[in-house]
Amino acid sequence: MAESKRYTLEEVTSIVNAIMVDEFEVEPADLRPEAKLNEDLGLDSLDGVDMVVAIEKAFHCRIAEEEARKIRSLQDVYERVLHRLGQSVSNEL
Amino acid sequence: MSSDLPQPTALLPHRPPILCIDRILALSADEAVCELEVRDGDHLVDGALWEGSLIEGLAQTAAALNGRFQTEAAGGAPAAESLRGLLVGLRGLTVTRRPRAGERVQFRVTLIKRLGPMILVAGEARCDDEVLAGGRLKFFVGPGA
Repeated sequence: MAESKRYTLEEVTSIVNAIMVDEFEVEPADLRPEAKLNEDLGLDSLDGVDMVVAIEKAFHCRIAEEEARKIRSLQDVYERVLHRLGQSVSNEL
Repeated sequence: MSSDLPQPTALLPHRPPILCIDRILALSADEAVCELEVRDGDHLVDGALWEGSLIEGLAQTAAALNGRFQTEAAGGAPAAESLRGLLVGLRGLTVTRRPRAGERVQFRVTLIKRLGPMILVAGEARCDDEVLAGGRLKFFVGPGA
């Protein structure tokens, strides 16, 4: 059975940030882990479903609705992705 | 075609002359296929169907998909407000040709993601093997829409 790819936090950060820039026209300078998707990066509730789909496609994983609802900041996105990939953030730091 | 399939008006709030689909051909949890025969003299037909009606047909097919979901969730006839929806986004939409009077258009939408009141689908309108329009459509559905 093929092993799923393991990502470092740095790789996840890079891929998620690229999605934010390419799909949602976020300024790269605004991409801080603590940045709130809504208040700081300008994503609205209509963008949320697009963001989740883009992340699922990039990492070949599924993010459940209850998980998606908890996402507030970029850091939350990174952590959710690593969690879905079966990796913990603490292990990657 | 299954005789178990509902009439469009059982799942959609739209009514003539705004109703853009004649019948539902297939309906599952993640896909809906509907059909429209373009008739000269009908609303928004001037020898051919208006481009916007192709998008509306896709949107109403997505509404059928939502109607099925809401029916399942309610365990029976859903509340009328749960069938409401707003088309809030289009992405990568292309329209290559307007279907002419006498042609039958088949609208197919496939669920990409449902997240709370948001639904993202891929849609395609065809006449036989010819793709007339396609793209991604995003909806806000339910109370408040």
